[in-house]
Amino acid sequence: MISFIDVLERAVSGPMMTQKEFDMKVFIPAMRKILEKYKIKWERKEVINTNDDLADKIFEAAIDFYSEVGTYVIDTERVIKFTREEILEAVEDAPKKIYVGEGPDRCIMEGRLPDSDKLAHCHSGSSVNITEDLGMRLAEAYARNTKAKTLSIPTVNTLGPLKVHSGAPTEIFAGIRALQNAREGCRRAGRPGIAFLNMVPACAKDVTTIAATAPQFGGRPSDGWLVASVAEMKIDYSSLNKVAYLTAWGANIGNEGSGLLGGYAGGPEGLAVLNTAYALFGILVVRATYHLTYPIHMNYVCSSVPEVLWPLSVCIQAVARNIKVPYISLTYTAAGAATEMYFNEALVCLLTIISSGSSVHNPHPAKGKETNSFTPVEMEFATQLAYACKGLTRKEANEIIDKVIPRYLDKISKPPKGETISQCYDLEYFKPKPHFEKLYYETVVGGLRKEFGINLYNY
Amino acid sequence: MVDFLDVCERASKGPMMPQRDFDLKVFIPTLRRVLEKYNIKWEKREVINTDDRLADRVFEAAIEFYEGVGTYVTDTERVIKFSREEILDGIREAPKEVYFGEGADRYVMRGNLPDTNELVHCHVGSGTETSIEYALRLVEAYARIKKGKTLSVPIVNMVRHVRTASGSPAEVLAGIRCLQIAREGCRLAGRPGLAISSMISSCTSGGTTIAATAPQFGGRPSDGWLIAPTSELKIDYSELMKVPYLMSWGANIGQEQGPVLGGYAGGPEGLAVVNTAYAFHGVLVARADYHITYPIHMTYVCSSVPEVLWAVSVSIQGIGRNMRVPYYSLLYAAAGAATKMFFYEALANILTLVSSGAGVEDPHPGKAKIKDGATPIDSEYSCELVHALKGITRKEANRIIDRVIPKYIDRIADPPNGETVDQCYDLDRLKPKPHFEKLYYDGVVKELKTDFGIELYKN
Repeated sequence: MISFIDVLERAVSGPMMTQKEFDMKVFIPAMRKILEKYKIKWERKEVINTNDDLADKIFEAAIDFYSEVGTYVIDTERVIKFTREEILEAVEDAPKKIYVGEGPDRCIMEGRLPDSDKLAHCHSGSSVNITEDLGMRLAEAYARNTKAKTLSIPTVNTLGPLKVHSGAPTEIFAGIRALQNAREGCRRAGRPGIAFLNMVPACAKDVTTIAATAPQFGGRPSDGWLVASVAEMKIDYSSLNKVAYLTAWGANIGNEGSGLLGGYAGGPEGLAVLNTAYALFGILVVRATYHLTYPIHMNYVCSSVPEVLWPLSVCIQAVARNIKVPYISLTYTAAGAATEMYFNEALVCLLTIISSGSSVHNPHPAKGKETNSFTPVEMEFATQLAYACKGLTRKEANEIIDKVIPRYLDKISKPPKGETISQCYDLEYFKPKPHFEKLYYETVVGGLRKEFGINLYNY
Repeated sequence: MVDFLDVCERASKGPMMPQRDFDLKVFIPTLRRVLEKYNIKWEKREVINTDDRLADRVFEAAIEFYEGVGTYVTDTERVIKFSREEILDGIREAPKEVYFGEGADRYVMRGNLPDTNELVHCHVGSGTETSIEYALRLVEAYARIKKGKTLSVPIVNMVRHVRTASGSPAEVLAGIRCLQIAREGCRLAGRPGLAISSMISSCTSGGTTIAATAPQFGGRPSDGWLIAPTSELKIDYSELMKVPYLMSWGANIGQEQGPVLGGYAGGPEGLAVVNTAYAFHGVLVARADYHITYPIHMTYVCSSVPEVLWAVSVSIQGIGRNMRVPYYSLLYAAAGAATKMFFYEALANILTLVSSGAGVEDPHPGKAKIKDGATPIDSEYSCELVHALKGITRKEANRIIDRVIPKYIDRIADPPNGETVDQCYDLDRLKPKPHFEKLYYDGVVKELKTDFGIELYKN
């Protein structure tokens, strides 16, 4: 595979253009041309794609698209371009498995195929904002879920009375505190070696991330650092600096690339191609050892609508069938925590992900926007579902979700806000409060067993 | 001392103004006012100040000046201001000693008084641009100078065929390479614990510095990281970021500054006050454990002219007498390496520093602008002189300096270029080539003994 230094050279010597030209004269025309050339069309007959040929066609289209478009580097206003051969070589050489964590919590995360009998990797937690007082208890609660093999840790954005701003020096203190709280929480849960794959959400910039997650503060190369792109197919030196640092350290790098439905990618078909192309970008530019996608709808800011679920499904399948890299899908629900609608949306998202061949990440309630707006119950639901639905085919999943989607779709633009963690979860005893316990075990768990034969707690 | 989080808060909430207003409406008028109020005037009768009361007056003026001006944060366009009491508190509580290095190379650096009998700190090496093929041998040669207690290492600015740019990902890789060369060079010299107190010359931004000098690449908290302001009394978040990182690690922080004679500081008197005020900025904003200054003349881009030397001397004396923080100075010679003029300029510089009570970094030849323009002989000469001059008074130093300056001052505008290290130094045998050996031992060392009674290589 082409070396990272060659990538850096292209970042300063590739074709020069303004960002607007890249968007309007390169990205959008190339996308339109490719969609037409490969005749990619969602017929709206199914939410989860079941057509392997279509998934492969999307993969081919993504290669074509990425070889034409490349990656725009904001700082140098140049485009890093790759030939088709270089992309194919990268597809072949891309890391197919990743070692995360330490000691008994060490695990291997691998790619899966659609309709696979293999258990999906369960990633748990959330990067959502929390108040400082909850950091350690929440991390402990996440880590107590032993089906979860890797974690995302929450964001702390205050330091006492001081609000932390993106890229400010205070972000380093917040990042160090977030990491140390999380490590301590995991130690208390008896899982000191569990890996964090979102190092570290309290920090928005390369400098603050690198500083706060340095080994002297608890960062380990067996954790994972997310390197973000800028919508769409752009990157800045801040992200590339992280790549240089992490590759030199031998640390795990996660490609955090995801398209926006209704953005430059256009509709579901464009989103599918773009999201697949992000995997190629991730391997070549970000030097990713794992990938995280989180497509959302531009207006509803959630993933649980069919227009997002279809491209998510087909893109996961395209990547799984043709690259089989470790791949995590994070989805966002419109409804807040501790609501029935949340669990319906989460069920749909998770069935899409599990049957298509991705690793599982608990869907984030309330569009991931509200402080303290999630609970360990969502994480437990996601991991239990991954276990219960092991071996579920896309066809079977479609049958279930066709029944579930109508239960929330008309409320997607005005979803229930739900509750905050302190309202519905007891962090002293690590269990939902009685009203939430009732909703979860009786309505959600009981309903799943009764209606769909999905038995979450099979013991 | 005011807490660093309070400093961060002031950086985002202090008085807001454009940079131009800070320079023209705050900095310059305040400086003019305090110079007049404290009646600070260089009478041009002596190059090295011998008047303790004047040194104390410069120090007092600097306190009032810094109280009126503060530090401007370029990212937020706000001013971090401190009250007189906070500045005095900072002066009282400023670290008075710093521990560098590991094992047998561990060393305590302290502040000194003028006319001191104590040996001042010797820093060797040079953070100037160097061909990669010379870097390792150069570091080894520097580290072999036993009298040198801390080290600067050459700049590596190529990664294979890619030239680094400030803040770019290539800079991270170059910085890592630079640090590894430095450690290996020290190991080869038998001094693996020697501290690098200018981490790290290849990196120009906070992000790349933190990344490249992380412990997994060889950085140790007993090294030292420099926090650079922007001229004058300004700082950006890129530099400020290093502070919380280093503080959280317990690593040594150095305040560096190069105020410019003829810039915003104006003449020698203004330069003296501004240079002194940087010590307060260093303690309060950069949280410095040690300080390094390198004032230069705006036109000649060197430090060896009387106007700069006087300002350096009086400000160092003010700081030595009133703060006594670990403090060393790097001065720039106009003449290039392996020229007689360089050694004269270096002598004037070192006489000023030693008698005034500052530690010494070997003066850099050729204004530090010539690639490969520094040699280990510059460092050796500097260390030998510091040892030979131990106990010299300002009065005695003035007597010598008055005879040395005329030897080069009329050529300061058009100095000899000198030679590059490969032209005058044998990097295999780590000794000067015959013509340079002759110049150094027969010309410089002998002349020092016969003309000035200064005996190098006495022990």
